[in-house]
Amino acid sequence: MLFNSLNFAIFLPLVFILYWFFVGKNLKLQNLLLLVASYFFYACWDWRFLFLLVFSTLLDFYTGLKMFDSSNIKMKKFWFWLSVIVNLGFLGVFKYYNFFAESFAQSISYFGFHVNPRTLNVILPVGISFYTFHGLSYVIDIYKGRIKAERNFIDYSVFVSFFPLLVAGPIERATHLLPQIQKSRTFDYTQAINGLRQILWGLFKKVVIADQCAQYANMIFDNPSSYSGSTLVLGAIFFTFQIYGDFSGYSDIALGTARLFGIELLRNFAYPYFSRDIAEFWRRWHISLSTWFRDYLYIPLGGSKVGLWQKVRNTFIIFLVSGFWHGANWTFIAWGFLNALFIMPSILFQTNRNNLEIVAKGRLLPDVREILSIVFTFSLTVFAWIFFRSDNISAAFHYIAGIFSSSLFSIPTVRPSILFCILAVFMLVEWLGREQQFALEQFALKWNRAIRWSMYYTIILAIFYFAISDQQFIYFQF
Amino acid sequence: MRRFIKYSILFALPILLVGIVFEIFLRKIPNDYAYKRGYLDKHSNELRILFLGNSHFYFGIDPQFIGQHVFNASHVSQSLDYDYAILDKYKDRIENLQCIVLPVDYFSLFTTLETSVEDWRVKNYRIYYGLYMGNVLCDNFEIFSILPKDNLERCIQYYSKNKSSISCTELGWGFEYLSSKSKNLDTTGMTAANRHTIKTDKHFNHNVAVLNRLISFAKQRKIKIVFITSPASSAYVTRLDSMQLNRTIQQMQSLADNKDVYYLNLLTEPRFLKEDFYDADHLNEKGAQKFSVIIGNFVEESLGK
Repeated sequence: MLFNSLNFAIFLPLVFILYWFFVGKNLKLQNLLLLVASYFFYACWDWRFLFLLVFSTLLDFYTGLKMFDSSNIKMKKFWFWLSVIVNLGFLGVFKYYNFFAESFAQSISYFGFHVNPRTLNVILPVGISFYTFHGLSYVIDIYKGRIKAERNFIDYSVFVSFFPLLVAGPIERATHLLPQIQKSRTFDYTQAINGLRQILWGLFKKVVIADQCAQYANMIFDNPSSYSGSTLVLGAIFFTFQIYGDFSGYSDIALGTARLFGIELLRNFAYPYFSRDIAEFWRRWHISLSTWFRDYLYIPLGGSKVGLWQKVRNTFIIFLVSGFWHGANWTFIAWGFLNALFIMPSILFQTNRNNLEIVAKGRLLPDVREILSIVFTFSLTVFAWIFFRSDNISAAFHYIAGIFSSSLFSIPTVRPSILFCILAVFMLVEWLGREQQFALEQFALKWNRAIRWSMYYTIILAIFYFAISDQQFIYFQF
Repeated sequence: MRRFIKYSILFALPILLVGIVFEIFLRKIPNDYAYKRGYLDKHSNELRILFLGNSHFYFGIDPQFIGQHVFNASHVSQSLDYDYAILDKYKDRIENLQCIVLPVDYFSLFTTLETSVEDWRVKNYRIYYGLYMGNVLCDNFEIFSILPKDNLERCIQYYSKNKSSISCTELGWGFEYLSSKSKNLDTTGMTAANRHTIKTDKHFNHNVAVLNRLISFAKQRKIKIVFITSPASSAYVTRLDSMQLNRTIQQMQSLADNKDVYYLNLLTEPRFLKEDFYDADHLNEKGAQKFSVIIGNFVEESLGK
């Protein structure tokens, strides 16, 4: 069930009505309803993988309890590693087995050995990378003594499977979400209205920005040899906006939906394309994943409290793992590696925490230095996305070679003027709303109802007008 | 909560109203499906020969060259299960029907409408034929089945320019594939062959079962049934997967008994020349005339047996 589908447009109000009108303030029933709705939502993708989700939930719930109740450190370790190995094992089999088998076969072929790797013909269970990470964070937190084990299976299951975040995050933490699930929720008008607004803005980003950019990005990336260098640059920029609109749009819908049920999820995006350096970009892009890797990998590796070279090593590890998390393809690893390279100057010169606040806070416009930093950071990001979007490494290099040709300074052959206007308006709205959780919130605070509603109707009209059928979200494949 | 409900309803009401009005306006635009259903409602009891099937028949069979009481009830991408469903809908009214003719082409046994790229057409059968197959919610609505942009264009065409969406003649032949607008056979042959080559046979058994149901239905009613593999240009045929093609031909030959069930393979029929094709696998008006006459003769011959 896609967020941008008719099925979801019926499913959501139905669950909302049941939740607030029939279940009321009864916490047990609230959570039970959320769990049933979440499992139904997941089963709509592929009911067979529901067993995997339930198994993963049961495993982490049980090992969590065993770990928490165990006074013997050896047993604690045993349950911890059991959970980690089984969770990562599933992820490895479903997501990475074919990649490793094929890469192995390819690498030994260089030495003259030829094997036909036995690959698995399995589809990737939707959301597996996300719910595995939910479970892992819970188990690690118990092991480290940061939280107590949850004793109510329904509550724990809702934490893992809450439908807005089930298939593509944000990757939640037990410390943040579980306390909200354990507490009875009461209806809050402002929260619900804000949720609806965020859903609307998310849909706009997905349908009007991402899907429109996707048409041109796909066209150019699918056949790069037919386009000039300048058009290839434009193709990469279109993909840059596509992936932002797609993933941040999804996250907005997820956060907005959760708000309708009185639950606040972790923020996943904070205007990343206004970042002044790559370190800031990574504090603003897919925040829930970046912080997950920071807390569960970077800090255990020593974080920034180690020597310079260890810090460099840790940074590379984090970005390579993060790239690999996205998918079993060398392109994602190259993308991670590039980002690690880009962030190196900030690490080496210890400027990675220079830009913590949003750019030009309290001001309408940025200064020249800020503009130049934003443009430079954006260019680096666009360059890295080429690897992310390409089918394989050689396609990425072929694309880049096409950019750096004599036609780089020619006029692009693809010039969708309507899309350019939409992108300009979109970036203007994002700029004006950059101090809020999501851009549309800014206008809700300032404008009167008549103007606000007119704007909402215009956005809805745009969503309908630009709708393209069956557009999947990019991050569902991860 | 009361405030939330009040404003939600107030906000959603205009959207709902616009949606309903748009849906009504769209449904009022005359189209092939509504027309053919209307024709079958009125004339199914008079029909002697009924053509069902996909675009190869829709553009290839012009009943005026075959005789009286002949109707072409095919539609673009209509799969075998929909052919059967249409027949089943009119089973109590087709008392004079003597022959059913339908195409079984290279892809027919390997695809269904719901799983094809043309799945948006399912709504036409629900809305205009009243055939409830599949379980996709969007298929109950015009507004959710076609892109809003295209729906808007349809409305503008009909309500301001009085151009309906009907593109077939009174007897059901699709008249839009004209020789004057012919396409390049080589390019269309490549794309069509690619599109029609199916890598899975998961629908094969289902489609064969549908054919068997069709045959037993026809036998029960003493109606002859003729399966045809439609002619196509060599640009298309040479690019087909021989396994898929042979499987289709063998399956159809095994079903034919030359008494009640006939199978005629015209895929490489030499009487069809390049100039008979609109694109690599569809006939133009000249080819349609030739094809209709050949099929008409074959059917009459079979009926005489």
